[in-house]
Amino acid sequence: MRALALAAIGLLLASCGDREAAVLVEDVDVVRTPDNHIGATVHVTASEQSGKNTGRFCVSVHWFVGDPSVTPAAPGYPGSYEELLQCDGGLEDGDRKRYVFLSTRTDIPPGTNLRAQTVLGDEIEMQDFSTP
Amino acid sequence: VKRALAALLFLLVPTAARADDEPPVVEAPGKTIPQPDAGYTWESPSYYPSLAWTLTQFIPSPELGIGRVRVIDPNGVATSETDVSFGMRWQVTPILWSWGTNRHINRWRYVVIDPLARNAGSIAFDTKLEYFFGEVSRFIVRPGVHATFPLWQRGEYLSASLGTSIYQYDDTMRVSYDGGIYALFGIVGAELNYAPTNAALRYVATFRIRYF
Repeated sequence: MRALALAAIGLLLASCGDREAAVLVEDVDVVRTPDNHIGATVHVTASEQSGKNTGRFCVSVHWFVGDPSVTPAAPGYPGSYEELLQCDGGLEDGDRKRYVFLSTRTDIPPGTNLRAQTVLGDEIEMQDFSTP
Repeated sequence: VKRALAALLFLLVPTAARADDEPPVVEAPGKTIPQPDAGYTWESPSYYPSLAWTLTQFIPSPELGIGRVRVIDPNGVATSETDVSFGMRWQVTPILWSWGTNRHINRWRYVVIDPLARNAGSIAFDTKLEYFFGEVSRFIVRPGVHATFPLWQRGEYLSASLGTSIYQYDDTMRVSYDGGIYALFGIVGAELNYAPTNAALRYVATFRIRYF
């Protein structure tokens, strides 16, 4: 019984993270406009351990070719069709905000990988979607 | 009158005669009885997770999570929203130390905690497992430390607790503080959890159900 208790404590402590702030990508609404631009609305949520401001961060979308499951997170992806970036600050813990992007290119084929990500300090949060 | 006297004599005289016929009381020989044992013995408890106990651990405690967040549209216009999420909670106590039990028995308990040990006064390392529906929509694991104090009948009728715990929310660690009051050997109670730095889940009110 005692060994079971100690094992439970060890497992719980091992699961604890230590990041102080993050801006998480919750969801992305992707649409293709009638003139073949791609619109992406990125929903983010701010998280800050002490309940304060997260500091400056950037939100970006990337249309790139390749397997997203083997493409590690990076500030940019060479060879992308297009990359769009918005930087912001002033989000506090729990704040939810939407960022709207519209591609300038009209030749992005359906099915192209769309990666939405945020960069806060050295931390990159991302989610992958498919272009309609 | 003569007949009445005769009847009275008939009743009294034989009685007196019978009393004279009884044998004399013989004193029993002296006997030494040992003094009762003034000491007492004790045995350390040996609790184990029985089937009934195990099944009752799956009974969830219903709760409400309440938070207030800002929602900002792409134009920068912010509105405040209050989110109320229904949740369910389970709990496990890996280690507890009781100061309310007999001093001769082991004060440590592991996983299976008898009500007297917890409610008569104890401090425990425990963990709450929660799932919230709605806007929160996630599992939360809260390891923490809680002290329980007896208020009435060594805590069997009424006890209270104070504690703190940590948990991970949106990839960052949070701290929360909680207090509770319990009745019926600690089986039912009410708890309020306050997380000062977590806007989305600042308050959690729980109707706690716990079978040891």
